[in-house]
Amino acid sequence: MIRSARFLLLLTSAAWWPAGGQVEIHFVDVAPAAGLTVKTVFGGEKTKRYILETTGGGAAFFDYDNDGWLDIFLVNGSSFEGPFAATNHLYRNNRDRTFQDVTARAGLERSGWGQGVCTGDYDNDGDTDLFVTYWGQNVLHRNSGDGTFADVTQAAGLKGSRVRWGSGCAFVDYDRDGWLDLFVSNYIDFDPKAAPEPGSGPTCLFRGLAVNCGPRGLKGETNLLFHNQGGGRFEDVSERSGISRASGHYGLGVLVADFDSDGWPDIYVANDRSASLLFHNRRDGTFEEMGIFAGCAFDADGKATAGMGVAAGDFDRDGWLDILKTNFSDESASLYHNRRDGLFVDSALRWGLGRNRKWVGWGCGFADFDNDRWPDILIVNGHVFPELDDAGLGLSFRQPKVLYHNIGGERFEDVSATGGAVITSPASARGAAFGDFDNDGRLDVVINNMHDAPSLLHAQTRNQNHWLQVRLEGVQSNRSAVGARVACVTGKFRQIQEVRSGGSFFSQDDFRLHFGLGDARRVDVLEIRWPDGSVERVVDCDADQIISVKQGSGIVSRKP
Amino acid sequence: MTTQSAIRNLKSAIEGNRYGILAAVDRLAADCRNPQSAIRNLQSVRPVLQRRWRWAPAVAPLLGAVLLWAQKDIDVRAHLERAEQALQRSDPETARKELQEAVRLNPSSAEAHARLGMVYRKLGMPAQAAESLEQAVRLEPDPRVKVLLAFSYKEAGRHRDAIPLLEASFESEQKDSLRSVVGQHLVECHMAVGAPEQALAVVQKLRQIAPDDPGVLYLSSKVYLTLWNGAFQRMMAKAPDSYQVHLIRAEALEAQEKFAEAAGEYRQVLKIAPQTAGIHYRLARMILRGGASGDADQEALAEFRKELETNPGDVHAIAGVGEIHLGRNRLEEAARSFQQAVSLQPGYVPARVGLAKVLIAEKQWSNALEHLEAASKQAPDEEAVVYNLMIVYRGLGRSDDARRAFEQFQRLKEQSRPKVTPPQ
Repeated sequence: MIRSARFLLLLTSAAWWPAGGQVEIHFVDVAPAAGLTVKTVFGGEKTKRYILETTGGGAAFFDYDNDGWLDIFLVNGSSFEGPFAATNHLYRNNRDRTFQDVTARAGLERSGWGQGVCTGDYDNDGDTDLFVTYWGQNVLHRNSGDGTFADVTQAAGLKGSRVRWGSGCAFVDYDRDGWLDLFVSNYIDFDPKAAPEPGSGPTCLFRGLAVNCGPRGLKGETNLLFHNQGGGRFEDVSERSGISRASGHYGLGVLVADFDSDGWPDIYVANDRSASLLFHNRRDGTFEEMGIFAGCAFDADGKATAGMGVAAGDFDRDGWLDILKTNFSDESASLYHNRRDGLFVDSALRWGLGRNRKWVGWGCGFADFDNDRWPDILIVNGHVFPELDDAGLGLSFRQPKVLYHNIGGERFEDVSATGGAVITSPASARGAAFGDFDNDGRLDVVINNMHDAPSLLHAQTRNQNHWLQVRLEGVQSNRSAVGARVACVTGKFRQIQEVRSGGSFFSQDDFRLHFGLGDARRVDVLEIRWPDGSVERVVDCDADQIISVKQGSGIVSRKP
Repeated sequence: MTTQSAIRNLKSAIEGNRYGILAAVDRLAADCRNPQSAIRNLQSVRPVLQRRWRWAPAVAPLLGAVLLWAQKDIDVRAHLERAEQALQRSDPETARKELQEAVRLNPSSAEAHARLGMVYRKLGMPAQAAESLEQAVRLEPDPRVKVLLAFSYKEAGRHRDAIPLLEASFESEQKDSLRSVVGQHLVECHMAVGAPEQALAVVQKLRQIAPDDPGVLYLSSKVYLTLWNGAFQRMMAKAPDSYQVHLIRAEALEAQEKFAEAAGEYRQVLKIAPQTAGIHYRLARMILRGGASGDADQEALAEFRKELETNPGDVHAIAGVGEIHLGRNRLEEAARSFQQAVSLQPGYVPARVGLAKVLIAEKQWSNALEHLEAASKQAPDEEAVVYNLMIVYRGLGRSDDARRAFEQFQRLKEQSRPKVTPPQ
């Protein structure tokens, strides 16, 4: 079975080859050949009575067994009509571009209305742990280090007192004490028994079509921040930290980054149909919400958009992290350009993201797919109303993805048409995680599709560009090095990236940082600012390898 | 017979006497609201009369009548009180019986009739309610009781009878909250008798009194929809092949956010009347909002340009072209279009804002500020203007101004926040 799958993979990979000298970013969906075949269940396939059935689940690229190869975790949902026994899935990387379902063996079988996933080594034991959000009770799975996970939600103090709709999540060491804390966004205070019927009011119609109601008209939520007290315990500090002061929002994607470059992580939350939030870290355990003033809460007309997924990247390489946010149809994605002071200007139109307004965007990321030193953009799409398929409005539930190539930091060019059938074919995509699952130096993407099997976008781009991947291990800092910022300098080019938990839409990217190097065969300097504020420099590093850097010890391993 | 008239008769009968009797009668007058006390007073008067005046026996029947009346009044009061107690324990049936008895004992009691009318309304018996309230109004034309009578007429389907009473109350009532309630009933009555134009006149006044009242908003929609339907039916009957039929259909579909279908109707308009101003522009907007085509903006651009062929000075279409260029990152072309619109109509806010957005993209903060300040004069509360002012002030390093614009923007957002109650 595996042999035939490998053959199919080789066949599909060989089927594409650049016709001329022009380099094109290109992907092939290798999910079936790789063994990712289980469908994600998420409410009704033809009609959706409740908004709970629309959000879908996240995806994670993470190395749960520390073998240097990315494994995959996919969140599953449930249904009001059955089957109810759908479970999340953990797939172990066989190191040959195929995966093995190890969910049961890992002790991760669990059904429910799963939503988001984020990872981090919260107990600093060297194994990456897993946090999954639910409508219901979120779950912390502690990695036991032997291929299994234990549900430690109760023991960790993360058990909630009521049903809440946990959505995005991220581990973050907000007080830089070396222990990963946890941020969780909440979407709607939702009770199916009290939810209005489709078509029963103005918030239950889409272009005259009766659809499930919300989020407008439903009660918004507050977000949660848990402080890691050490010893495997968390304390809810949402109120004390000022996080819960922002109330009545519809929180979805969570993005943690040091937007003002002060060395302290800030938290951005993409909100559906309301102002998005930017929690600025005041370095004293508290946050100040300043999304509107910072210019990243609304679109360029000051209007709220339906924020879903989020990503951070320095797309114009000015040394400051910018924000990408996906939105609903009739809205282009938001591209908040950092003015180099932690304040932003919506520059989606300026950089060429204004044209695609037809799709409902979810997972997204900045990723240098062609290793030319400029981060590109992939946005995965899918509408929330399956009823559209028969409505004759020219819209469909499944939608194509959008791939933008970064043209020298000057503009983004829509190259979806040449990105491969997996880009142009419609899908009901939700969570998307970015990482190099076959360690070939090209970034791949795993996507959780609603009512379908996942997609595994294997990068087929062929050019002579070089690359470097950097895995970090904190010592004084949290062991996952979440929050570390790395500046990669090659000649006059300086790129920055941060190790991040959470992000995209409800998803987790590879912790390893991937730098495209263009024609540079060496990296002059890697400047690492660890989460505790200490700075370490690694000089003269060969390209085209995966290096591991341990805090205070420099490079401790290399993989060609 | 009322207490006052009884007293007047008694006074007249014993005219001339200045000793004791009148004092007692005056006490009776003071106690007219307390029949028991009145009886006590009259009884104290009787021996005096018998002892000192020989014509006293002639007065006796009159005194008897007063005593009889006073006793009746005691009984009526008792029934009214028992009715009130029954209502307090949610027992309107008992209240009805008590009040019927009160009315039987004293058919001249306006209060008893009015209360009985109210209880009939509570019992869902509007015809009987109207009858009782009519009696009450005949005995004592209290304006509040007239309103209740109007409500009963309406509930009994007697809308035409209700209208004059409601109109009078709507015009004379001073308290806005009551006026709003009366006005809404009046609108419903006008609608029920097929007079939507009269209803519209009331709705327009109601919108001044209670602009955010959901009842008023609902009735406004209903009245406008009825008028719209009436006009449309007439148009269909009299001019079924006119372009206006398609135009009105298109506008209705647009309001329902059925953009593709609306676009189809606008195309029909253009087939029949290709030179009609504004239709290419509207079609372009539908194409953009529908977004069904992969090249929606190219299609829309073509329509905007067609609009400009017949209507070269249409600033809406010119700004539309600018928006498409801006969306495609063609900043120079966008700026040219917005600038042209501003030249033609300096007060056209969307063009000013569009131009400012182009200039913000190019970090030309001062130039952007100039256009936003001009826009602000035209539309000081336009969110897009205030928001971009905040962005520009930040760009210029004018922190205090940016903070002020931010606060104003927040106020505007708060004011425009929809107050949506989940449907039950």
